[in-house]
Amino acid sequence: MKVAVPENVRSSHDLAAGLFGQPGTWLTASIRTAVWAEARNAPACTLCRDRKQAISPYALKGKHDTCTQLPENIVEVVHRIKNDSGRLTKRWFDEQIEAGLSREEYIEILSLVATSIILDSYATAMGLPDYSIPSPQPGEPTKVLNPEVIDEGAWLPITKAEQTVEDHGLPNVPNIARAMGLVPSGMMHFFGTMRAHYSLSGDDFGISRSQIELIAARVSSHNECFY
Amino acid sequence: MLLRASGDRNNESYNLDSVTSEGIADAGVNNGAFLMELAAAVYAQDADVLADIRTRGVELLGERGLAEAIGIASGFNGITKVANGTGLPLDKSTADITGEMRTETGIDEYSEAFKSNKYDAL
Repeated sequence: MKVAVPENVRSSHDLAAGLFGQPGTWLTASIRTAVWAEARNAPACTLCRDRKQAISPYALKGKHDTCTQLPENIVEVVHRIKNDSGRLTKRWFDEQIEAGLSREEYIEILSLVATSIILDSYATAMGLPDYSIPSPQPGEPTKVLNPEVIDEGAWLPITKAEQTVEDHGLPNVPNIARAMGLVPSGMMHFFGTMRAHYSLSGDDFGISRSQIELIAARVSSHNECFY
Repeated sequence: MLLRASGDRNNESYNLDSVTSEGIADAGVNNGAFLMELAAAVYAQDADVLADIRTRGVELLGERGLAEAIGIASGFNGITKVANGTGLPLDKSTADITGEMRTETGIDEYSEAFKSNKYDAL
């Protein structure tokens, strides 16, 4: 059964896929495309499967099955975010930073993995072929720091924003929209994709708001997501 | 979680426990049991199960509704990684309106403090 892809989804996914092949703010295009390949490969990783069965993800040491030349610390980040994000803790995050990743590199990787999950989840669920991962384009990361961030209790600083409460009870700029503020280009890459799928406002939908929120809540529960 | 707010707005009551429980119930939402199956299938990414979901989904939701449902599930499969991967705290207003519900449904067990206590000891 083939289901038509809405035009706004198709165009946002085409744009998002192409951005993997461009140099980012902190990562080269070669690393960005490898992150997508690694994320796609991660569900087949034996270490991740064994860890998922363990009481604690710290109970098992070992090496990930990898399909790229990415350094081990990046592979660890990609695989854990893709396969077991519900059991990530501050301790794990601190270990990745101590192992040599900058906070900005971490956020860019997080954005890439999360965006790739939307693209690949959607394609598989709709019965479509996977996107081809683009060829990496030459160029250097801009490495421009964003000073407009603030500590609000997350593992990393998030975007500064004045918050007011909207009719639906949520702030005008919820924390989730501020979470990747250290790397605005990563934030825009992810939310440019996400916005084609979900909005808090509007009423021109094929299913009801309650149905929308039930799906959102259930997927969040499967992902053990507190937010 | 906006499901409760959605119910309040429509003067409807939903069974929020079913969102986090093991089984599949309809939660009081139209086609809720199917939507929860769809959510699980998009999360698990089993191609055969998803093919069955698409066949049934077109009949239950229509082609547009099914495409939107899959889109929402895919989007939340991604955005939950952002929240989980940053240790993101709740906005104050969200915490205020969902506190009781989070305790009732067990969502508090997904909090950073709970996870650290549970997993970091090993």
